[in-house]
Amino acid sequence: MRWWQALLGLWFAAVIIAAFNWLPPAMGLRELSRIAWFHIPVAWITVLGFAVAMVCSIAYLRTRRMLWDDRAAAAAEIGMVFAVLATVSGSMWAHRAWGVFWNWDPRESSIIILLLIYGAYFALRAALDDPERRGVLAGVHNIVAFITVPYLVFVVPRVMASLHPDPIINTAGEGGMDWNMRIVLIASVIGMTVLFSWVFTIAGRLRRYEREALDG
Amino acid sequence: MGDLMYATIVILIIWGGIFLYLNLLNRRLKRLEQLRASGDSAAGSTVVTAGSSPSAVEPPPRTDEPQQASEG
Repeated sequence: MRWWQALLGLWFAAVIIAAFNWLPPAMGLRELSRIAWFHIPVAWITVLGFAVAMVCSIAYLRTRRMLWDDRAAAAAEIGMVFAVLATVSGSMWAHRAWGVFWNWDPRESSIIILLLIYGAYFALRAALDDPERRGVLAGVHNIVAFITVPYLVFVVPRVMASLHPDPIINTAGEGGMDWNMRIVLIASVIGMTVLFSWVFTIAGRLRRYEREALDG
Repeated sequence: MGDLMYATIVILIIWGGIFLYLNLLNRRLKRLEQLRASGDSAAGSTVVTAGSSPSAVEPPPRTDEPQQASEG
């Protein structure tokens, strides 16, 4: 284990302790608010993963180096995994707060559409054997797919009536959190971002090895 | 079940999912690295295994030998 991996473990241990022992329950959300300190960073990694995937796809289309296509697929895969985790944790929270796991809230509907769009990305990759053709078509799909991300994640839940608790930056443009809650949330987001960069290097290398094994 | 216990379970599911994914990636990576390492060593030993020892490996026949012989 490297020093920064140990540091990351300690960082998250501190975040977990702070989330359970330091922060009081949020008004209205009761003890369930503690889920938010991990659910929101997981949702952030979803957006970050898809954004990195788009940047890597643009780099591939400009340079035609397969390394960028590997990285794009790796980042999109991480985005998908974290989107599933955000969906599962969100629906479990909804079960307790709203009484049902799923009620087609705009936030829930938009994440499902996002999962379908990126599911299509992996279906497209799996359907093409030629690495160059796969890279070009999947890259274009990735760029078009990411255009929908800000709309589905940030616009739709704010434009349509939603039961979802107010995001940090709400329509009034004000933060709706105490400072100690913000500190824990930001610490969790920083930790998750470091975790993303670690997982991204592993997943990128894995994609490259798999491509070299399959395509030669 | 109280709210605090429920929140703990949800957070454990989030972390369980992250660890599971990380573990899966690491396992696949290690397996592929082992395959690459064994492939490299097999490719490196091809010449040696063609004969009983590296000195016993015969060089490939020279293509210009018949031409030289006719000239002589």
